Parts: sequence; C-alpha cells; structure tokens
Amino acid sequence: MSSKKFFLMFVLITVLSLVAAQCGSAPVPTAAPKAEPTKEEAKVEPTKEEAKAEPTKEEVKPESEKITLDTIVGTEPRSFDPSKATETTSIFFIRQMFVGLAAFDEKANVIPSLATEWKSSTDGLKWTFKLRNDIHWVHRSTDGKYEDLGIVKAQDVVYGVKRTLAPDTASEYAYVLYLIQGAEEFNTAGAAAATEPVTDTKTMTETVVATPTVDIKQLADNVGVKAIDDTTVEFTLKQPAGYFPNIAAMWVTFPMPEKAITEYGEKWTEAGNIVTNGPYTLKEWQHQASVYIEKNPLWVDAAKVQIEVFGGPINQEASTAMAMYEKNDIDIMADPGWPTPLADLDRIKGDPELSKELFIAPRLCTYYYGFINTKPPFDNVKVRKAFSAAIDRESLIKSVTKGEQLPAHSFAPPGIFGNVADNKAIGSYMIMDKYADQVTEAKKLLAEAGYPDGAGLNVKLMHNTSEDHAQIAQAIQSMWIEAFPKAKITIENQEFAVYLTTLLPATADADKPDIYRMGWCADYPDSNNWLNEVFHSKSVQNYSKFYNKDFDKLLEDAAFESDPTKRLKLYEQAEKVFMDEAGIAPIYYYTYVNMYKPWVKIVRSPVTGDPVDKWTIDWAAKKAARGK
Amino acid sequence: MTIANTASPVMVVPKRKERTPLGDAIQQLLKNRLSVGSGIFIIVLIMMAIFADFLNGYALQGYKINQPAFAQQVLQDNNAKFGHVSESPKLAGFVYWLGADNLGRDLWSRTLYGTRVSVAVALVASSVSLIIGLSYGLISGYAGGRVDELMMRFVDFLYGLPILIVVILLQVYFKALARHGAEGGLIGFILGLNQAMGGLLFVFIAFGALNWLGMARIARGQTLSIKQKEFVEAAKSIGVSTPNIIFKHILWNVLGPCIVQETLQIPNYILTEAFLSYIGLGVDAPTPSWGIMINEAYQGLRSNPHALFPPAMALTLTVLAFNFLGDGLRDAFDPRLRE
Repeated sequence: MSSKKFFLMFVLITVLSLVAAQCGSAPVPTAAPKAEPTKEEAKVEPTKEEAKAEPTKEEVKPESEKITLDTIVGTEPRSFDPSKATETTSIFFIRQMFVGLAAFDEKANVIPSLATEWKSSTDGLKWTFKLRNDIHWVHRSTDGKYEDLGIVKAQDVVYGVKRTLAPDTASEYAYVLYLIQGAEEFNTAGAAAATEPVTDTKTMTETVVATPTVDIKQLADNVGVKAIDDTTVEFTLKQPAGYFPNIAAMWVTFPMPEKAITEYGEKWTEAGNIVTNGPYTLKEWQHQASVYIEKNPLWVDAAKVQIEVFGGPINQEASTAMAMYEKNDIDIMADPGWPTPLADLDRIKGDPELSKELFIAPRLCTYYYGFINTKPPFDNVKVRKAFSAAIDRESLIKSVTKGEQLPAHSFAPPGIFGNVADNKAIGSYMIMDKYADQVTEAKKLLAEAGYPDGAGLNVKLMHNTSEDHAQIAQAIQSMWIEAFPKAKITIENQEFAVYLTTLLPATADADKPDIYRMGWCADYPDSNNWLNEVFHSKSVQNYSKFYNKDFDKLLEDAAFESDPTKRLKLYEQAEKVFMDEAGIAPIYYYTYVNMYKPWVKIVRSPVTGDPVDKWTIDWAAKKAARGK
Repeated sequence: MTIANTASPVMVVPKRKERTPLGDAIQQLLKNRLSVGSGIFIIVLIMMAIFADFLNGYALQGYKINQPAFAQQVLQDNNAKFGHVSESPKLAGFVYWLGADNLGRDLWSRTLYGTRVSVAVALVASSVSLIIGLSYGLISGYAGGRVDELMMRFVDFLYGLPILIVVILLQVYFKALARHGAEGGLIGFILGLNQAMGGLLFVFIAFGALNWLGMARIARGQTLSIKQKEFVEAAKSIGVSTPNIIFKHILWNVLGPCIVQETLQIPNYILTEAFLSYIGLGVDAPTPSWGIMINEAYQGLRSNPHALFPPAMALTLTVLAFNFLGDGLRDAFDPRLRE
C-alpha cells in the first residue's frame, strides 16, 4: 500500500514539476519580446532608419523571423564579468555586450570607441581620455523589455578599473593594469589582508582586520585613475608606456555598471540582471546549455546592426558542431564556437562546395610546449634544447594541424610589435633546412647532457583535454621516441580548469609534468603582452618558471622605453635570450581555420572578439537553404 | 537409504560410464555450436594478443622500426584507406591492410595490440573478482550467523556506491600518483610496473577492487545451500577439517555457477575499459585500446569512417563471443535446462 502511495506521489511531483518548468521557461523565448522592444525602439531616434537596413520592420515580429546568426558555443563561459573573464568564449561575448574606451580594428590598430580621443602628457605619464556622451547603460528584462539607465560616464570607467584591481574581485587579469600608479599595491595588499586574519589568533583578529580595511580604502583612492568630469578620465602611470591605449581597449578597463553589481553581487551577469552598454544585450544564458545575445535597440548605431540574435547551444564536441554546420543548423565554425575540426580538414579541402567556405587567416596566437625549468632534467638547457630541436614542425603542420600554420621559432607571432618571426637566426635550431640535421643536433645535445639516446629519461608530457591536443601530443611523442629511443615519454591530460591549477607556479614541482602544452593569444598586439606578461619571472602566467636576469632586465627596459626602434631592439634581444635558453619550445603560430556559410559576411578582428555588430547575413538565402 | 548401504556388496552395479557434473557440463556445452564457435574465437583472440609482436603489420611485412608497432606513425600516410601502399621513404611499399588512422598509424597493428588490452582486462579483472568474491562468499556462507550477517551488510554497503564513479576517482588518483613519481620502494616498483603496462595496472586494481560483490553473493548463496547437503554432514561426522570441507567439498560445487556468472561479466569489463579509455582515463597514449581507437575514429567519422571499423568490429565480436560462451556455460551447468 505504502509503495503505491509513494509511486503516486512520485508521478504527481514529476508531472507538477514538468508543468512548472513549462510555465517558467515558455514566456522567455517566445511570447514577450514581440511588442515591447518595438515600442521602446520608437522612442529612440536612430531606429527609424532601421527599415533601410532590413526589410522586415513589423509591429510584431515572431521569434523565428528575427534575423538570427546561429552558432554553437564551444564551452560554458566562465563569466561575463569584464573584470573576471579570462578565456576566449567569455571575452568574445563581452566584446559584443560592452564597449570600452578604445577598441581594435581589423588590423589590430587601436581605434576610438567610448573615448573619442586621447592624449598623453609630454612625459608620457598622464593619459586623458575624452568620452562621448551618447552611449547608454541598458537593462534587458527577461520578458524582453529594454530600459535606459542613463549615459555611460567617466565615473563608470573609474569604477570598472578599480573593481578589476580590488582584491575582493580576485581578477586574474589585474596584473595587466600594474603600470597604473598604485595599482599593484592596491591589488596585492588585499591578498595579505585576506590571509592575515586566518593565520592570527582570535584575539588578534579584530585589530588585524581593522587596519587593512582602512589601508585598502586608502590604497583604492591612491590608484592613478580619476574622473575629471562626466566625460573625462585621467590615468596616471608609474612609468611611461606607449602601448597604454592598447590596455584601454582591453576588457579589464571597461566601464562597469556599479548599481547592478552592488544590487545582484555575483549574479549580476545573469540574463535579466546584467546591465550592458554595447551593441548587444544578454538574452539568454542557461548554464551548460545555451547562450544568446540580442541586438540592443537603444544602441547608438542600432540602425547599422543587422543581426538581431546571435548565439546557440553550448556544445563541447567539434565533430558535432561540424555535423550541424553541414546540415545548415549553424552558420559559422568559428569563435565563440569551434574552429573546423582537424579530422575533417582533408575532406573539406577536397569538397568543391565546402572548400569555398573554408577561411584560413593568421591569428595572433602561439602554440608552445613549455618546460618546467626548475625540474630536473629540464633544468639543463641542453635537455630543453634537444627536446625542442627534435620536433618536426613542418611535418606536424602538414599532416596533423593542416591549417597552414607557420612553424614557430620564437614566442611572439608575426603581427605583434617586437616579433622576430622573420629573423631566422633566432632559435635556428628549431627550423633547420633538414629535420634530420635537427635530430642529429638534438642527439648530440642530449648525449652531452648525460643522456645518450635518452637513456635514463622519464618524461611526462601533459595537455588539457582535447582531441586535437592529443593528436599533436602523440605525433610529437613519436618524434621524440624516434630521436631518443631509450627515453620513456608518457602523455597525460587534464580538464582545463584542473590543468591550470596544476601548472600554477605555486604548485610543487613534483606534482607537475615535465613538459606542458599551452597557447598564448594576444590581448593587444605588443610584445609586452607576450614576453613580459607571460615569461617575466614575476608573472603568474610563467608556468615554466623560466628565470634569466638579463631577460627580465631587457623586458623591464623595453616597458619603460618610449622610442619604438629601441624597443624593437630590446625585444629582439629578449627573444634571443629566451630561445637560446630554450625556456619553451614554440611549435607553431596559429591560424584561424574557420568556415562561414556563403550568406554570412563577416568582419574579423585579429584580437579575440570579432565585431558581430558589423557582420551581415543574407537572410533570404539562409532561410532558403534551411527550407531545403 | 541405510538398507542400500549394507546391501551394496550383494548388488551388482551395472557397468556404466562414470559421470561427473563437470563431465556432463562439458558434454552439454559441446552440443551448443554457438558457444563452441565463441570459445574458439576467444582462444584465437588470446593467441593474437600473446603473439602481437609477431603478427603486427610491420613484423609480418618484414619492416624494421625502432618504435613499438602501435606507436609507429608515418604522418604522410594519415587516414590511408584499406590496402593503401605507403610511398614514404621510411616505409616504402608498406601495405596498410586495414588503413591508417589520422597520425598514419597502421590500424591492423593497433587493433591487434588493442586486443592485448581487452584480453588482459578480461582475464585479470575476472580472476581478481572471482578469487576475492569466491573466498568472501565461501567464508561468509560457511560461517553463517553473526559473521555472515556482518560480511553481507558490508557487501550491501559497497553495493550502494556508484561503482563507475569510484573507478573514475581511483583512476584520477592513481594517475596523479604516477605523475608524482617515486624512486624505489614499493610505490616506485608499482609505478614502474604500471608504466611498463601502459597504465593498465591501475585499471586492473580499480576493477578488481570493486567488481567482486555480485560474485560474493552468489558464492554465499550456493554455500548456504550446499553446506546443508548430506555429503557435507557426512564429511563433518567423520571429522574432516573445516578447510578441507570448504575446499574439497563445497568449493567445487560452488565454482560452476560462479564461472558462468564471471563469463557473463567479462563483456562488462571490456566495455568499461573501453569507456574509461574513451573518456581519457584508461591506458596511456600511445598504447591503443579499442575504446581509445573508437574515440579517435569517432572524431573524424564524417571524413574517415574506415578508421572506426576495425576497433568497433573487434569490440562487438569479442563482447558477443563472451556472451554466447557465458550463455552456453550457464545452460550446461544448469541441469534443469537440459532436455
């Protein structure tokens, strides 16, 4: 009897929860947004011209009629909070939803965005940005109503910068702002304050907590950023830096909506809570399931934005994405989704239709294998060099990665200020004419280091979980076994978040692999973002724990130097030291290997986050193709 | 009954072939053609696993390579189709009978070495589970009372754990241990052994430690019923020692059903290994396992479907063979199923 009751209860609960779920979710995607946005639109001037850009201006637009660009989203975004985002998926969406002082154009030049102009004082220490006054904060409620929350002011920029630096925010990108006066002190003092009360005894706690909070407020005030008036921001740097506008184009300096952040706390980036100032707003973010952004009707250039909805389901399988692409379910194989999978490249290149949709272009990223420079036997430069030299980069690119990547022999790729990709004298042991010579050299080096033919070496190589990384790792493993037959080489993989923790400089060397895979993509196209921010001995990103006094000195000099020719020289020297010491084994400079349906016209940015607001779509052609 | 005993010298026992339960079972099994076929298939498979070093493509075609055959890759032959002849300077004229994967590794050789992994998993996991489960069940069943109660509740408790998740956790732990490394000592020895086995040892440990529960229950149940039988009473009454009773009288009667059960479990082990490898927690690359090969082939399914056939075929046939053999054994050991 009782089991029957239980069963009934169970059925009842299931049914009820299903009904509830239906009620909860149904209005969001379909019913509401029809009438309201158009009303709102009518208030704002520019939308009147909208009829020109798109033929379908109607009173009520059903969801399926909205001009939609479908993609998949490669991974669950970690955060849409500009202070906290670190990975490409999040950053891609952040660049659609927020605008900062400056932006990057198609050639990675810095162009005005929220700021119309900027200038630096003669000593290069003070930077003044003039803001435009027609960019508004916008809130989109879950039922599709848009609300204008006022103009984006200089104070919002100041708040954004300070928030990124605030110790409580724990931004992983805060170090980028350390060139601003007082920034480092503010950012790091917090860490000390946070740990101190824990280590101290109970009686001590109160006093210990009290002092740092006062300190922190003071430190925050000392940060060299202030709003002169509503449309002027002034930054004070601790050293002259010609590349500062690049930083002003990074998401960590974006203005942020203080009110929403204080109101919702951690949850402020959820759809319905988030307040944005860019061409798009967050329409839907179902965690681990889907992300959609919607055109912001209150955006200053809304008339020029054609694509109304952009996004798709979150799917971690590149092969699934490819299948969807071929079925016309999605329009692009590119960020924020997956690039074209390696396994399908040969077929695509051979296919008369698909090959036309394939798009390969240089990308400002480098794929490399890092050595833990403090962990024997890789504390020996000869061992590092031998392993780097024994990689056949040409074959790897030709047969495995297949995307016309360039074999790398230095860290910063072509297109970055200060790169040495054309100087074949640097890192020459990686790019000899014949691979066989590289192997001979590698064998010689390893024998000199005391490991003839790799005897006695037990090397662990690790990569983050991904089929493509696994392929590359196995190909390189095979090259190493071929060159050093007596060495034992094992491969391991870890999920990305775990992997990053494993690699942190603070983790004990014993818990780390000997060699790790990593890639670095430009945040802004300057070697400072590459050598200095990644491999300076003080950088948190310096997973290899590479340390060389001259190298650090060269980078510090280059950061202070304002003469471009001198800076170039300094970076060239730094790259040379880095490669002579074989701190890492660069493998290739990335390319975009993307696919776009013929009805999609894109504008790309070499820096993460193509401007979707400038993309267009031949809506009729897409509908026709889908109808088939 | 007692009368028959005293009268035995007088009775003339008709000459009749002696029949044992085991003999009967074998007779019965041989009548089942599907099972016999499966048995032969499994024996061939084991042979192939043992002699993989001589049967791989490179050895059979007389090519000398300085890598393990399953790791040998010729990048320019990647995704070669069935019967492709290599034109690379290193391996000119080499024929890829079953094609090559996307790193240019011979699929025949890799499938062959994959057999090793699957067969090893099947044999080791099943023997570990059989030994632990059988002893546990025998002791529990024979001891009875409080001990039995306690031991079985412990099994129930373990049953409550989600086995696959525990196996995954163990794998993650062992892999971290292996990365940490240790020079000398027992741990060093185990790690060395594991590396020599391509990471398989830890898979075995994880399996063996957790898959004996069903076996223990069956063994206990059988023991409970058999220890009530007259011949056990008789043995007790003439003073046979307890270990002797357990091992000579009860064990052999319990073994039959347990072997049947174990054979039917083997496909599970093989599939679980394939699954673990599929999600990257199985054997270490480049050691091939059918699960890893299926995963790799699946990524390029739309472009190179040929790479999926060898491992998928091998996995399917092997699992089927073990199932048929298990079915046959069950029928053979169960007198009620005979005509």
